[in-house]
Amino acid sequence: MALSTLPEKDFFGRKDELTTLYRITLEAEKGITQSIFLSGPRGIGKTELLKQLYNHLFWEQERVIPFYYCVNNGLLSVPDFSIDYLSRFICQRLAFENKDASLLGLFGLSLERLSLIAELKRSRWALELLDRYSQSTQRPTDSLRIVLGAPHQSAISTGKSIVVMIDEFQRLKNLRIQGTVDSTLMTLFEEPFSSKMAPHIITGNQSEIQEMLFSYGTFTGNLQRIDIGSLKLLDDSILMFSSFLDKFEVDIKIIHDDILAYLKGNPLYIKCMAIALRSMRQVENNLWKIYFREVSSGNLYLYWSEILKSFFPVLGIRRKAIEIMNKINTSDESFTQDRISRFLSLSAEDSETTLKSLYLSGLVTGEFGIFRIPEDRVLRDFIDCLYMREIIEKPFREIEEKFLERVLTSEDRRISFEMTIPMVKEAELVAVSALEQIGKNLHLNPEIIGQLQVAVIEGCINAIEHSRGEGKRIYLSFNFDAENLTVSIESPGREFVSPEVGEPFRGFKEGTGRGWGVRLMKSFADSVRFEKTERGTKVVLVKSLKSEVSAQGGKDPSVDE
Amino acid sequence: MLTNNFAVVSKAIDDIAILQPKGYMNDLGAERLEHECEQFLDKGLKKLIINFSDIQHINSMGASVLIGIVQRISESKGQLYFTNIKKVHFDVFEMLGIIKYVKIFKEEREALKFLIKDAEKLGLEKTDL
Repeated sequence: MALSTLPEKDFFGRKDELTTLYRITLEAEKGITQSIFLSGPRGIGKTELLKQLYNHLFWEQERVIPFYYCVNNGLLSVPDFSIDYLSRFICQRLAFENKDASLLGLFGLSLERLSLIAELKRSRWALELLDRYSQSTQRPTDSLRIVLGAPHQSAISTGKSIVVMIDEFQRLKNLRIQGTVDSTLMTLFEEPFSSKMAPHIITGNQSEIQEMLFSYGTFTGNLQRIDIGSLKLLDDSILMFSSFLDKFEVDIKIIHDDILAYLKGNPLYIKCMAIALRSMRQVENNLWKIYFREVSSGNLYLYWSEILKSFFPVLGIRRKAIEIMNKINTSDESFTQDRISRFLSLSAEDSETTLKSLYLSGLVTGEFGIFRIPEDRVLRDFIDCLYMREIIEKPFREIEEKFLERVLTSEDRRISFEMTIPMVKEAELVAVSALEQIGKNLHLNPEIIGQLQVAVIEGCINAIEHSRGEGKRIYLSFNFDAENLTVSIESPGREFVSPEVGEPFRGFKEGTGRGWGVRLMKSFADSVRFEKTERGTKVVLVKSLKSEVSAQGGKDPSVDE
Repeated sequence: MLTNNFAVVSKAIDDIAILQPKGYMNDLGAERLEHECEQFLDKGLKKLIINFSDIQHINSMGASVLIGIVQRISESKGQLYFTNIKKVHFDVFEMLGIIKYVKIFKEEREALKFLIKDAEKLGLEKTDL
């Protein structure tokens, strides 16, 4: 094996993504492959996917040379980074050409040692590269430019395309020259990213990379974004979990797929649960209890709390960050920076700085100036536990009881339906008919269903209007639990929401009907959220099943005399 | 396009037009209703009753056209009456400020009764309704 990865048999649910990336990277040979930003939430398996891709490219073909580099936080001075990047590139390329995986394990090599290896392998391109680099070492920016351009240059000189994979790319924003972070260095990636002979695949912390791409807009045009989502099928989650249990020699009789569904196909979470089971001294059949311990004090807790600490090293500020997250987490409403400042009595500067760090850490999302917690129940539970433990100092036992009560009662009653409708006029009627049937089946108050139908119709019309012909389908999901009926309406189209106000439409002109859709949605649903998603834009309508229906729409229709 | 089966059944009783739209009142449906109303206005019938009992759903674009109908009837010095409105549709009209321009009756016959009384007040003869 070239890079250390999971055995192929244990690499579940990512075959399609791997095949797609493999196909795209092979097209580098024809000089038509664009560089890629591989995006996705934390723990979703982007690194593993890249490593699997590397190994396939390394062993299964001869046309395109793979180069994998994971940015190391300890090597962010430009000279350190440059020599490390260069030496790994040379070793990996020589390893590929000679099918000698032992070269992959070499790192921290001096220029002399690298030259010796290049000479031994009679590699002219490597010797030329090392020569150019050694002449530039007194000028760090030039040496960085040379190493970043090395894959392209070597591809040109040998006629062999190279695929450059850079993991933890966001760390590069801290590249330093003589101890000072120099953000202009990022512009040096513009040329390498535009290379068709040596396209790049970058990945890492999605929020931070997005911020970097936004800040240094010059190279965003050269990047194609590919989103990696959760494992699509529950079966893949179950197979992955079983595989981990086998590996850890954990013997449990029943795999509770409800908890695996709760983890939403996140491989990191699935692995943490399996590890937690391995470390149990005696078999605990209630997986929810194990999950709670994980999220409140186990590996899942450590994972998220380390991220929190790395972005908020000062305790006082960290506590404020937890309070902000809790406020957003426990409310159905959308939060702008102003609202958060008001609620928690923070200065505009403090709330801006804290929210920016929370966004960059991936602990909150923030599209169009509206902040919310990602749709990740594990993260939400982590925030909940952390807040209760650290801020309001509730006893562990009490937190556990409250959690188990919530999760066990709500899970029993949680029902979900999903449907896709074509983006054609009046297709919304299909959605509202489904909603009506769901209401009947679940014996819900028809008046509540009627109000939600109005909101759903408007949501669908919005989706059709604002997709601007980009897609042909609207994706709906209906989620019912003990308290709420939630309908999500998702469609392509990124120009859906105004960045100024975080809502669709730019104004409401009385009497024209323009803007009435949002007004009706807001009047007939208890909460309306607009979210940017991988597919485009999503409107989430939440109707409380306990809402006072008569208070919603005003008086009864009656004789007007 | 999916089949909406929107239709308008209408009749005239003396100088009163009664329209009963059926189905989904979106922009297309409401435009058909608007067309029917205009035909009655052109014939000189200035009192219009719209019976909403068979309307299943209304959207904002349909409601927007409905505003146009209200304006058109007002310009023609006509009178518009809404009857048999479901609670949720009444809420939509109220939310969008339509009901302040029309008279609302629970049932169609109540609107008719009101109009006949009105006619009698003006000293006009009415056939038995």
